[in-house]
Amino acid sequence: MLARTWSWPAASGSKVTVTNPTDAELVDAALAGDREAFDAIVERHRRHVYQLCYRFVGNHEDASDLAQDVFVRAYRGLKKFRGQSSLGTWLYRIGVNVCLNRLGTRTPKPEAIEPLLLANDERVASQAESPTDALLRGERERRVRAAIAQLPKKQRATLILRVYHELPHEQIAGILGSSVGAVKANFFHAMNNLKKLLQ
Amino acid sequence: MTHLSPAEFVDLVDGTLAASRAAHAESCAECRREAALVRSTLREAQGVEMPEPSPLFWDHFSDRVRGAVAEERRSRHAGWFSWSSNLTRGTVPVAVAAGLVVALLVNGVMTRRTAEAPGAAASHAPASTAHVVAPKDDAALDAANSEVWDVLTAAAADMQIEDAREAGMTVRPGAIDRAVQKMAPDELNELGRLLQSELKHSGA
Repeated sequence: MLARTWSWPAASGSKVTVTNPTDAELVDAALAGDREAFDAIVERHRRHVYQLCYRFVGNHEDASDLAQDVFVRAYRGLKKFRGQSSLGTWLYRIGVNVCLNRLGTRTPKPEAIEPLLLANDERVASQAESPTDALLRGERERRVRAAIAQLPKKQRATLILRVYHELPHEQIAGILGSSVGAVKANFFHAMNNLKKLLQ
Repeated sequence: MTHLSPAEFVDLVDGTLAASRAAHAESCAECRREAALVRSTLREAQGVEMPEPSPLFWDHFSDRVRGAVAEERRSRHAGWFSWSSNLTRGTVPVAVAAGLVVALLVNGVMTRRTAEAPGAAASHAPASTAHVVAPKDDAALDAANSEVWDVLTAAAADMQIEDAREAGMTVRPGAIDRAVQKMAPDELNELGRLLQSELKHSGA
């Protein structure tokens, strides 16, 4: 899909045609009525958006619902996207808001081992890990996830964006609408609280 | 020298702390201990992996988003049809047909007014004069409208609202309301009859 040619009318009245569009160009094309342009945006960002949601709610079903909601909201608000931040940052911002709103209204279901998700889980196929080790690792991960779920919302969002999405503090600040100093302080407190919760 | 601040601990772990402050962290047991705690907790958090969904999931997900966005687009376009919003829920072709009925009737009203007052702007003609037309002209108009109606209903049978819009069959916001307000009582009755008939046939 991404290899096709994209055309849309420019502000000057001429026609813009590109073959390998940037995010900003896809946004322009989508706003000009090209439906496939928004499909391409989804295809490009779905993994990060889904992973963000999964980290917040910890189960596949809710994560896919939330990720879908993120893209629908993005479609709805596309006209308001001015390009001051990257499209990815903007989607992360929507994603964090959607997830935090959901956390405010509903307790996430405990994570279950889902066959769909295990299809590509290399650890399952690994011969190096004994069943006991796998069990211990699973239990350790479950404890950490449960502890992260107890963190205050902003600390939790900061931790997820920093640790699991490896975003720079500056980008996290843009997503959360905070200063870089506040993001770093939040991250530090998240680590401290997590340590206490795990003891 | 003062202990590291929370932000400085993060910089220390990231390896971006200024050399003078990093030197303090090296020499201060309390800061060293705190930094070690941050590092070990970070490692624990990093150790929590996320299962990767099946490749089939991504196509399924894209389809779901596409469907939800199409629904969003439809509901947005249905705004101009809000006076008959029930029609747009699951009976979109009927809604298109109903819109075309209105367009047809408006066309009929305008044609009659033009015939009655040549040279005058149709929109300025008083509504009460709309029914003052010779029976012969009425019969001819009805025959012509019936033919146009057959063509339009056939075209609208499988058409979605967004497709009708793209085909140029659009109605400006508020135009339907204004047109309906200008209808004579017998035209309103006919509109009601046609809409009821369409709804009955569609089972909506």
